[in-house]
Amino acid sequence: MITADRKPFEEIKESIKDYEKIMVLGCETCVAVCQAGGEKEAEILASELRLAFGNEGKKIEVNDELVVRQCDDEFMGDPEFLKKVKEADVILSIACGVGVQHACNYFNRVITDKPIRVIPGLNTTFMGANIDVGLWEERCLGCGDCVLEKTGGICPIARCAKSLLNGPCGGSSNGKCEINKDTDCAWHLIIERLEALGELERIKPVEMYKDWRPSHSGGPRKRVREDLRL
Amino acid sequence: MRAAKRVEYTKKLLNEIGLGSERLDFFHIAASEAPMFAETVRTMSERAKELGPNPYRIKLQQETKKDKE
Repeated sequence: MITADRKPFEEIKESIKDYEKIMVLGCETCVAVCQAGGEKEAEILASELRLAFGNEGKKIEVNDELVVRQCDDEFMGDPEFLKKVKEADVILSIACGVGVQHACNYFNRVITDKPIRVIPGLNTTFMGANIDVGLWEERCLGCGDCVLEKTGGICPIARCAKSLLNGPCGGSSNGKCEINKDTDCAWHLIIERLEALGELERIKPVEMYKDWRPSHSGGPRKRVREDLRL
Repeated sequence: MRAAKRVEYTKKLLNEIGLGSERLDFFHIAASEAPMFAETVRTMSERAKELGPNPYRIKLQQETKKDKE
């Protein structure tokens, strides 16, 4: 899932200070799961903004709303909801970057008599897994050419600081990465896993340099399934 | 433990909005420790007096009064 962190409060305040009617728009999917932009976070942020601006003597109206997903037209077409969107001066979206952009695009497509401003309340960070309560770690970089079959299910592209394809570097020490003593050396984990699977031989063949073209390095990407297109 | 973490988080939010984290606190007091409870309540009451009422509520009351006039 996509994870994100809420922007610093002062930054958010600064970005909406010129507006009087603000909608804090939460999302019930990825950012709700990583507890950055779900219903609770939308309510808290709206309340914080009301109190903070109220403290400064500024009259603003802040409402919070929630949609299932901001990255999908299907969940945003409720007429009552769109009426509220139109009434707001700005939509402070606490979805991931995908949601912010898609919401902005969608609202400006369906509401044609005034431009709709959508600004982000989160910094989208990585694709990760929920490792423990309150802990999410990066697991996938979306490189477009998955090598997990060769590395026992541990990704060297996302989890190795250097994205190495052929074993640990000289900086691996006691299973930890030289970048940060709290970061596991991905290749140490890979070797342990392949050993447990009885597949250590897999690391013997030299893996050639990675073709980064399927990744974002090759430009913004698209996925099309022609059989689903109308 | 979770309550303590939630209080810590709420204190951070109070600081963010400028109300100040001193308005909220968390104490461990057993049911049998009545004197400690009384002392804690006294401490928090004094702190509340020093900090004064919620500035946002005062502004809101003033504005409501202005609107009525």
